Amino acid sequence: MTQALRLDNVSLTLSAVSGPVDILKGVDFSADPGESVAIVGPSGSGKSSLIAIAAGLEQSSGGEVYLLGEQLNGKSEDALAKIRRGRVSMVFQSFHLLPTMTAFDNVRAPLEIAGLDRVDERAGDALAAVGLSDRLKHYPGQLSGGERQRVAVARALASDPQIVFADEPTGNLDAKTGEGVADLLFAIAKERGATLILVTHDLKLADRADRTAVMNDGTLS
Amino acid sequence: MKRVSWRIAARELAGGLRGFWIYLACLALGAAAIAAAGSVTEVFTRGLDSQARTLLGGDLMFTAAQRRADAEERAFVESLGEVTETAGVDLMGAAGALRRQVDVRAVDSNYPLIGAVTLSGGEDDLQNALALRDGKWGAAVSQSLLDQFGVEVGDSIEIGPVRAEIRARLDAEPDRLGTPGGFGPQALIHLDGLVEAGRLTPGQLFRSGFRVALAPGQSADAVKGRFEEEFGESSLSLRGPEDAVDGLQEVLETFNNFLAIIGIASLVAGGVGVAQATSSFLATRIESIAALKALGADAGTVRDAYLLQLGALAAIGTLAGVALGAAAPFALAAFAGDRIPLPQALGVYPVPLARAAALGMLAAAVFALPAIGRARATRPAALFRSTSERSGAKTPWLERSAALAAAALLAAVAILSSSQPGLTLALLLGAVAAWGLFIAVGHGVRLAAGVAARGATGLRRLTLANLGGPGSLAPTIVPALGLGLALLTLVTSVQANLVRQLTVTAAASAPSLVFTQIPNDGAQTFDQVLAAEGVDIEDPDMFRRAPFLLARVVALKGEPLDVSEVAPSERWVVDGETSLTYLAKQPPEAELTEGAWWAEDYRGPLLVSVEAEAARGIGVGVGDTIGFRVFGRDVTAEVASLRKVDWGTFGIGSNTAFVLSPGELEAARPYHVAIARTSIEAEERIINALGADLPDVVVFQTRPALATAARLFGNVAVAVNAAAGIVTVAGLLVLLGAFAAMARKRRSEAALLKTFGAPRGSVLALYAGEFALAGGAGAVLGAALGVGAAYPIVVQIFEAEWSFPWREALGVIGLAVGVSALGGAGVGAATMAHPPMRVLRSG
Repeated sequence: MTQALRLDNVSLTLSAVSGPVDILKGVDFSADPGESVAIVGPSGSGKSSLIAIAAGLEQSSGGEVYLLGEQLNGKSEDALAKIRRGRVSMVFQSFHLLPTMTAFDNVRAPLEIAGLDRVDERAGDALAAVGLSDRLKHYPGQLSGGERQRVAVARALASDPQIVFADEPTGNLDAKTGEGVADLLFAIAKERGATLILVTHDLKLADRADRTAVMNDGTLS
Repeated sequence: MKRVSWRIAARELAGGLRGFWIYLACLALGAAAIAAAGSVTEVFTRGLDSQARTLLGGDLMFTAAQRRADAEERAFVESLGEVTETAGVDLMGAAGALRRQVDVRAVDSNYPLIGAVTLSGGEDDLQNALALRDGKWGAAVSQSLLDQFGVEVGDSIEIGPVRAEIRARLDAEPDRLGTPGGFGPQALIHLDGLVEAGRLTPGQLFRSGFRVALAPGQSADAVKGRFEEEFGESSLSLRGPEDAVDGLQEVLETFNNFLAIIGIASLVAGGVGVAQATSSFLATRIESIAALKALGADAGTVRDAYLLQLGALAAIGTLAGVALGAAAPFALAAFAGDRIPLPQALGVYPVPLARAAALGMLAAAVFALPAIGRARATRPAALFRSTSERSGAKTPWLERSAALAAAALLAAVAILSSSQPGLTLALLLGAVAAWGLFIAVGHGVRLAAGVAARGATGLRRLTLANLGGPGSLAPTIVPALGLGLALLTLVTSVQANLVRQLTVTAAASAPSLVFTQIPNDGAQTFDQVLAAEGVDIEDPDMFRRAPFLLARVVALKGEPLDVSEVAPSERWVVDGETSLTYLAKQPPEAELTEGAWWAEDYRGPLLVSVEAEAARGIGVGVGDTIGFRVFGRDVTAEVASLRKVDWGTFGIGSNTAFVLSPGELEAARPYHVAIARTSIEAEERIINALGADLPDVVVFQTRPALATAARLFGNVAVAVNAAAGIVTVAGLLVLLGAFAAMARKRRSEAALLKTFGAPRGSVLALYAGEFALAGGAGAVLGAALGVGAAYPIVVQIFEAEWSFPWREALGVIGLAVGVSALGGAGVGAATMAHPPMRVLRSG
């Protein structure tokens, strides 16, 4: 069976005023289809850089990255975008909804970019699944933080992606709301068979994943 | 104002001007345009004032048409001081086989009284250059004459009846602006040469004049009074230095007012940038303001702190503009001074600079105050809300009223400091109306895009949703860009139509040859010569000939003429000599609007047919009388009819304000003028044939003159376009500000789209499309308004034929859409310059 994600000896070095900084130092990691993995670690340990490289949003300095069976190294931006299209989703700590679009349109946008069929039906179903059927025509500015993140979860899962990257998805929410969002994220990912890679500080949230990896100073254990 | 406000302001200003360049540039541009216009006008106006006596050629000038002064008039003039006599006449020049019209100026031995004539290439001294030597008169000629006739200094040339030797090139005359011969060949010869040849006898076509340098103790005003008393108002025309550059002063004033309006329009268009920059700046301060209030600062303290900051920045921008404007005349003199044929009094003039500073600061107040008001009204609770939740604050009435008062004051300063307040008011009202329309359309585009977004899919919907959603570009870009483009389209449309009129319409309808100085008793011979050269003299569309007289209107309805009662637009009819003719038969193109034409064999008391608008201007109708002075004799004609004149048609009789009945004037045996349409090849044959049979007939070729006029007009148009382009530059500055703001705002959106799998090209297309739609909407409306405003100017003011300026309108729209799309793509590229994950993490 092809792994959903595999990183072999991946490193990332960024240049800074004071000289080069090693963010990732030979990371090996893999996740199977349908598996949920939590990556925990202190701030600045390289967790977010890891998922940026894993999702093809940033190129590694060394090592090899395989996403859904395709090698990402050396591929152009557009080639990487094509790999992600419709198959890879992301949920962010700051929600990142499009402010000029309604909740319904926000969910529809990536489906349309991916050229999927039944866009309206999928978007409606996804919003219903997160309990926001009555907020379809609301703009992000008219929604609470929890509602916004639920829209973001609906947007991430509406395309039935094969892998979902979630970067501190409950970081900006209170405990109760955060728990609700996490419930949705895990439940829908499981129901749709998506791999879930979750970056979090919240150990309680991490415990809900199938396994946990700890990131420390650019290395994974 | 509390000290704490000063402290906050100083502390924030110490952070530098970063993020304020659009704010500063918009104010600086408008203020610079106004200051430059005022300073340049002042430089030329003062230059002309200081040179007025030189340009007149003396303290007083007496002129007459078709005659020289009589003995009594001459004795009067010569008693006043030093006198020089000159005459201006068009004559045919001939060198070898070539015959062409030459603009001849004949001067006596005293010329010039003031200044010096500049000669080169031969004789340096004017009198030596013109003197009779070995039986030949001398001539100083323009470079254009040397070029056209293919002659050099030392060669001989016939100038009308005078056989002359070219002894120098004429480079400048003290009492004429510009390079001699700009419109055609020009020659300076001795007056005695023309007198000797009998070319200045009464009735022939020429203008004569005296210039007088008054003897000590003589005052110009006293002389004028004495002259009018002794000779009456209708003798020689009399002008003083104050009238020397009348027309030019008006042109300069109009130029100044036009540029000032452009400056104000650029302040208004750039005002969007000021408002945008103020809002963006204050948005970054919302949390500070809320925190200050939470800590106990009152609203006034907060408002004053930001009023001081933005006021100081407005002063910096405005003063930078004023400094640029003050430097403009020096730059103009350095780069183009020798090509501008006007005397210049270079200097820094405070009045136009103060006006520019006032207008700049007022514009800043109009556009920045509402945002300052909204910032003042920020509640401390904003600290607990997100940006999108606190952006909907309304402008408090105090700042709204203050902004309106500043707008009213701006209009008042603009109108009251203008030399044409009515025109400035009308232009301002037009600009305000256009502005309101643009704002309304901007909001309309936002609403329409919002509706259209519902039916669209994918990135197209995102484009429309961005344009139709909160923070839409349309209400900013449409007015800022539209106003400038409207003005640019207006100017280019008028210019295109006028150039077309000169190069196509006039070239097709105008005669190719104009003949003057056809002797009364040679008229039949003249007709025969033309007929022999293939001109169909029976066809009124190909040939016309009519008697020609110059006359002065001296009385209206039995009362002596009072020029001040004549409408300024029709004053040309009574100002100096006007041309008139007499015809038995009504010309085919003359359309009578009132009254009736006289019978073909009418020989009764003098009747006149008056052009309808001229009649309205001088206040006469059918049945009224007009008194004319013709050849020094007063005659009175009764108005028999009013008629419409299409000045663009082929005709003589119908194209003068006054057509009289034959009879009384026939006895004067006036010279005739004629017009004919011929091929270029026939022109040369006709000119040569007339040279043999009727050598005094002057032939004017219109084709080269129209080409010269089109070229000169094109040069002026470039300058006018450049001036009108200033408002477009202001709009582009706003567009640049919007690009910069959007590049910041849309960074996370672009990053998000990339995580969705959108290719780079799609993101670029998204922003290019969004800006192109907003810019395109502004451009289409701007072009429509510009073309709409150009129509009455072309048709009613210039009375030219209207041709829809597709090229100009589409050019402006295409350019605006192109620039907007390119900028939008630039925004897209900027948003994608950072790795998406880092953008989204920092958001």
